[in-house]
Amino acid sequence: MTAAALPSAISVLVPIVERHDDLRELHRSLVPELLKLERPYEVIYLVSAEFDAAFEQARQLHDADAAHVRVLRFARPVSEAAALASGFERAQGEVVLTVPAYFDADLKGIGLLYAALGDGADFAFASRTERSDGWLKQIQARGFNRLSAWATGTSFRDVASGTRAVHREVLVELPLYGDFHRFLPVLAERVGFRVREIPVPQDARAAAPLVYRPRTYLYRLLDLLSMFFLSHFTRRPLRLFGALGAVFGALGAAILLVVGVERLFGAPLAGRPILVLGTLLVGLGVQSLTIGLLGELMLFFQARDVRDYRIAEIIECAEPPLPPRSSARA
Amino acid sequence: MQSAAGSLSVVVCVYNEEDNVLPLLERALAVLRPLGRPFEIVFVDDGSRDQTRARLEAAAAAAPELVLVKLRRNFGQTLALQAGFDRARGDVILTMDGDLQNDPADIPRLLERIEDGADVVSGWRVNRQDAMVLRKLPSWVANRVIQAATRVPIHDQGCSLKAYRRDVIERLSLYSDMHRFVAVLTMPTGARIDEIPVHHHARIHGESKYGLSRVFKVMVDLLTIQMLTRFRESPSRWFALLGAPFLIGSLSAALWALWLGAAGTVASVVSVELGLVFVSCLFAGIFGEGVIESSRRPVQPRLGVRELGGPR
Repeated sequence: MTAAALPSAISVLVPIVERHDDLRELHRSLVPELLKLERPYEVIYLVSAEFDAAFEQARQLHDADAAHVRVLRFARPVSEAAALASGFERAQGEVVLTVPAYFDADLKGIGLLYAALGDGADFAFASRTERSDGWLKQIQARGFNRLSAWATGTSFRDVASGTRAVHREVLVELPLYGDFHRFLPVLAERVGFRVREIPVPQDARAAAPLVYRPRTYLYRLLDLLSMFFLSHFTRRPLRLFGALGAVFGALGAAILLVVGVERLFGAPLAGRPILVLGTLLVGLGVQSLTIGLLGELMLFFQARDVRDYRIAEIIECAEPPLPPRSSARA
Repeated sequence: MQSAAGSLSVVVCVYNEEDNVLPLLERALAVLRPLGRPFEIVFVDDGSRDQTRARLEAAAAAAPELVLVKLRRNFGQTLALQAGFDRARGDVILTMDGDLQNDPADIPRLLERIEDGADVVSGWRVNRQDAMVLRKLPSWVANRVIQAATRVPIHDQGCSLKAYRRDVIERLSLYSDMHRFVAVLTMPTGARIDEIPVHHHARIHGESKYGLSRVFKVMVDLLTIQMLTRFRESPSRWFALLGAPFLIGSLSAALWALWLGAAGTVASVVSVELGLVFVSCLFAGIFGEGVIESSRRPVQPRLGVRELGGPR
């Protein structure tokens, strides 16, 4: 699918949704790298509503080089995924690069990512191998990446990296909402694209906050939890909830059994609070099972025309033995 | 139903079957070409990493009946099968294994049954050539359970060699691991399901891709399939049946608590707990009815899209 020569134009998306460094400085570092690629390019700054200073900087960049710099201002605060999605809608290049609004992976790595796309990858992202932002940050990043590799069943080492290069046709197939931008490589791989991780050292100017607010960590954990569910059980909720239900139910049943047997040997049943725990666990098991079954029911009726496979190519002779059916699927 | 000699699509899903695909193609062509009806053989390559693709591509020149659908990666047998179904153009769609364990020589007999009026004809591997303990015994138990749960009179659900009239396939949408239950899933549409004994050969090339670990999965899937096939019109009944034992338990605990009087605290708590489980089952059933009801009406998307800032 990507065997053809590299498409010509490049769009660079820079979402300003969390923190940002001086965009003018970032732009000064970015442009030489883009010029090295010797392709037509555009840089689109996607500014969320709350960043007035960034918008001002982006507008200055636009005024200085209107042919290459576009600025989108959102009317309300948006997530990175939403910013990227609307930036992508407007991007004209056939290769889309995403670059964080702050110094992170060395921008010199952009050339490597772009080369990877020409070399058979559909999606390439910069893996920040040599981090310059201190051990505390590294531990957090490594923890997140380990967990996410486990949760999604992949082996990426820096899945959340914001420096990416993507073919346009890949982006079309990726769901961009919520916090999914953090897992784009996983999502791309799931629909069958070739994803490559390119080690790129971190820029010396990278200055991420060492510790985030507790809420941030909670959200990351929830993200991981939903990725875990989505990676394994989207189309089979009962596998998860049924297993949970079986565990609860078995625990409860074991308690009830022990209590019941002891009753046979004379211990009175009525004074045993553990009886309450036993029935509670059985009840929890049934509820879990019920949720799983409802999930299956919803899937079956709502996702009737969903096709989860992706075809790479169909090979057949010029005049196939059977003509295409005129009647569309019911 | 339709006239007899309609066109035929044979759907074969293959994953790393480099030594088997060409002999299979050859044998299938030898059986199908003399039948004198238009046919195609749809090979779905489920992201093989060996020579499967290359060999089929090479064979395509000599076999105009061959259609090769290449998936982008390994999506699993169910989705591969759905991909094959979506591409198949025949009036009758026939599926078989890619590992040569099914015999293409059985195809004409399956087609006869379709012509006799069946909508689904399933193969039954009477002399199954597999390991006893690891394959045949679990399969026998599973088939018994499936038969009891779904009331579909087929002895051998796991046999891939099956023929379907096109319209029953068109109503299906397969996901998860439903490939084992295709015949069962056709039942609610009122399909007439038939069965004939077929040959079965031991595997010569390549490795079997199944194991014993799937027992839990099959059991869980079966619960789903049972709900979807037998109670798809009335999930509230299914959930009410699920909750009924808890209602009985709750009522008896309540009686017990009354009998114990002041000493009956634990009993009354248990009664309330069990009652709640029953009620939540009822709620789940009502919710399920809502799910079905909403799927009947075409949903008008109301996304409330507004364009956000920036030049366009």
